[in-house]
Amino acid sequence: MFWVALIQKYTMSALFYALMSLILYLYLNKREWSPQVASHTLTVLKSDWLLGRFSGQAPEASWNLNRETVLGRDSGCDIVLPDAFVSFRHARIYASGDGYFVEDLGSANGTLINDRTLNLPERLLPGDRLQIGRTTLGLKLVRQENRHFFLSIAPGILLLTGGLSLYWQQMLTLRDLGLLAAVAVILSATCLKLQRQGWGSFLFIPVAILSALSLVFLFRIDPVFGLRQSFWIILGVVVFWLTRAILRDYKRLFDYKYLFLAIGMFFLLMTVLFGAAVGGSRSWLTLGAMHLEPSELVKIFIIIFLAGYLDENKEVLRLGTRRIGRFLLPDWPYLGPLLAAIGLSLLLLAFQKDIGMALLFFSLFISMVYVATNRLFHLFSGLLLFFACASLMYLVFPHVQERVLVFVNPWQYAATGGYQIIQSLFALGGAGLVGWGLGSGFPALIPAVHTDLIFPLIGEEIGLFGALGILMLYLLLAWQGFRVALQVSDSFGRLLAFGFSSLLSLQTLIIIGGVTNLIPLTGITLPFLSYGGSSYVAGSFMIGFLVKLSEYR
Amino acid sequence: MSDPLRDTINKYRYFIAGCFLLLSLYLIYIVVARGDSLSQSSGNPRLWIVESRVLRGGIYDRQGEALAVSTGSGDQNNRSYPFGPLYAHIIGYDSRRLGKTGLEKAYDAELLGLKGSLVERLSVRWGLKGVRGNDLYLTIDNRLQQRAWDLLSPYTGAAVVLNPQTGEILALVSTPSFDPNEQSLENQWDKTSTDPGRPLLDRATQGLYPPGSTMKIVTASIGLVKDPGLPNETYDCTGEITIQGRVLHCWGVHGVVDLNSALAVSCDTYFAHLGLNIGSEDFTKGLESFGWGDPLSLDLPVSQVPLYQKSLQDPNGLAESAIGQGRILATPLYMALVDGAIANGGVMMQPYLVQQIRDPGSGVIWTAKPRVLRRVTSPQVADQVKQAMVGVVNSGTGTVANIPGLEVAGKTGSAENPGGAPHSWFVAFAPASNPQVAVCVMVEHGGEGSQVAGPIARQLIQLALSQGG
Repeated sequence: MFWVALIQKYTMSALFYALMSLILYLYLNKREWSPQVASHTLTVLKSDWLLGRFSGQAPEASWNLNRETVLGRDSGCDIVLPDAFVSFRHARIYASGDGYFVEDLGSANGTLINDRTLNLPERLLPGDRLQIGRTTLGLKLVRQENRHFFLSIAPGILLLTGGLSLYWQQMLTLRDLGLLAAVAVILSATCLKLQRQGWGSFLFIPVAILSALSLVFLFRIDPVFGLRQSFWIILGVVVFWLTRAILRDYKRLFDYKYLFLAIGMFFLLMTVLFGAAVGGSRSWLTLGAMHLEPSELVKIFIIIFLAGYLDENKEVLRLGTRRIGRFLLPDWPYLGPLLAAIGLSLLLLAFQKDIGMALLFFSLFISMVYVATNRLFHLFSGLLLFFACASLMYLVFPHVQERVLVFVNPWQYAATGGYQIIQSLFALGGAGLVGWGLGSGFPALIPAVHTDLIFPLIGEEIGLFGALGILMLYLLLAWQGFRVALQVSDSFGRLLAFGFSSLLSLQTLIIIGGVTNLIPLTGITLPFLSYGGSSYVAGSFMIGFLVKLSEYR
Repeated sequence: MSDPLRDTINKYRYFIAGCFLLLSLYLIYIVVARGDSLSQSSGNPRLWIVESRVLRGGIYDRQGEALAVSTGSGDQNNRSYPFGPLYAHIIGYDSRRLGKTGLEKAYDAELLGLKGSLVERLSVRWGLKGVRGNDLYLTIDNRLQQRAWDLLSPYTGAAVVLNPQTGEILALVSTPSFDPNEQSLENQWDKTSTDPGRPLLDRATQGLYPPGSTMKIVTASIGLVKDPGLPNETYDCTGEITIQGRVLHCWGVHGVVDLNSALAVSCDTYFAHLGLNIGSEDFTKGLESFGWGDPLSLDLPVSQVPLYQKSLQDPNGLAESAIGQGRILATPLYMALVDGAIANGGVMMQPYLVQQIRDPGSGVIWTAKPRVLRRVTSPQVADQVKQAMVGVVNSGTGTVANIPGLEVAGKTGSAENPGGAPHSWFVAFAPASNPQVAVCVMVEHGGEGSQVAGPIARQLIQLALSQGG
């Protein structure tokens, strides 16, 4: 009896610990689990004539680049383009620093880069269109990731193990188990496909593991949540693939940055006007049978806007044009729109009583401005502004006051405002190192256990080791995201990647810090673990975008 | 190529990693350092859920008499206390609505089996069939407790019986009391909690009273430490003593007395004079060595006996304290410990209530070990005070506790108080040559110590020794 229960309750935990140990080992000791560049190739994107039609040579689709590669009609060239519009020695591509540059070699018809005539040597970036004669060429990164078959199928195995444990404990029906198996296959297939393609799995595998845990625990809390979340996860995977397919040229988003700001504001305004109150905050829009949390999408719009605006104005913001005392400050025309946009969205969020989201927006804003301008002045004035706003909110809104009082001493409000945080602490603190086992926690005691407070339940059931494993996964995800930001070749992309990565990590820190009472508890979801369609799909979009950005280096 | 954007992103990601590290460390702190107190917190509803899944352990007296038993299982789990109000202050109650008190609270985890082996704890948590908590075996002797209750229940007061050589508490009674059985407790809660007689208060451990003349054994000990020649000195009691213009009256005119005869007749002026001779500094030190001002730990909530240093600076305050009046306070449990320390050659033993914790399957899993709490005075001084206390019972104010064929040492006390008749105190131990039992009885507004408290103490000693022998 005891041993049967032991197997039922701890198999998934044991698997999770093993998986976390493996990831830690691969990542820290061997540095194996990271994308590795094999080579850059020049690929034919488009050709108006059939290559090799006149020469009888077999057409080639792509060429590896050397330190110097000459393109031309002459057969001595590295890349031979037997086209009458191409000069004998038309152009050369050479490696310099950490990139490739293209230079016209005095060709008759010239070389076009992104439909502009190339006069001086210019850096060639992935995504650029290089036109020589009637051929359009592009730089492509061919990368090779170390493949770990077990890591790819691990999310699926984890999900199946958890599902079987729950089924064995009669917490699931056979139908639930079937759905769970389908999601397990989809997650693992996605990981495998990404590894086969050679990039992206280093970002998606942590997400897949988190999704698997999420689904196990949502089914464990209530199969209704699990059922719905299964569909959200499937939709999320679809969005992940679509994002990568649609965002062929993310740089064009730059031109629409104000549009994104407007859409974001519109959504927020709609919520304030027509929003439905769920769990104390008016942050939901109801469209028929659908409940949408627009702030999850607005996060993305705001990041795109901020990345675009900061990229455009970062020099001005960094140097400053106006002197006030010892400080050089940017002029209002540059700083104004930024502050107004952020102030407006924070105000709207404050009206929705969604403190967590406002906190998240604010910290994201400060982070992005600081990173873009590299000026500590902006960081500190941002923090000062933050404390000023926080104090104002504390004075104006009674519910903010209550949060702070509860944070200072939750035990004094054990029966009212402090109930939730105390239950969270009971669940986490009493868990011990390995927890009480899957299915042995008491989710009914923790309010909002399926959304914002899923972490305490997971901690209670898979213990301190499990909770630390989850923190490690989030850190890994953020770390990989920042690595993408460091490697993207243009600063707009860099700011986008940074924005998404810092958003995911800040959101995690705010809610886990909240449930442990390290900071005041505010209601936001834990990315990929909490129940919720808007949150999951928005997260998938960001991961898809990050994977896409990782191609541009 | 150095890019400022790249530098700041790099800095930022280390900042984020630092935040994650901090969060991880805090999580480890919560689980490792605060885990036990969180999981056993009385506010934790998990304990109630677990309780409905296991059979809570029983509580038994030293002879195995059941004092608290659980029957049934699941939601029909029912806790009953066959002796009703007798153990309401020691064992406490276990009510979903009102929470837990006493040993039910202090040993909740043990009674629920949450402190057993890992296999046990997991079985309890998972609600596997047939799981039982651990049983408590107390140092209490049910017959003694019953007798103390019978004798004391007409009054408001407290009685403590303990073994001075080990610290085992054999009986601990406080009256009035209440019925801790869940049904009647909850039904009568409003009445019980507002009753002016304060039945919820454990007077034995939490009631602070002036100890009256029982304090004189402390004053005598401190005096003997300061001046070993004290037994040979005499003092003339004229019925009053004037201290800084204020007259302190003795309850009689005792003429020339020495230490032994002054204790025997409980002469106030002798001890007030002795207190002044000792001086406030040494008297304060003496009280500290007896434990005044030190917290006492027990499985039940205990009031700390307070030490008011300021009032001891004043000669009148010092003289009053020396005879157990004014600003000197003690709990009945504490006076039993002081009495027991004199009986035990100056060594005060740590009092305890739980003798053993037993697993219904595998037997004893924990046994209490007697532990010295503090040395209050030297064996020589303790012996001298003991002889004087024998005199009290043989030929002084405490003759009511005289038991033929047994040498009893004791001291009466009548603590004057603003509430009415004095509190009646009696501390005693026996047999004087090798003390097996120490008793402290206190009856609120009971009058002279010899009248009410004394006979109760005598009967308790008789019963305790007849059983021990």
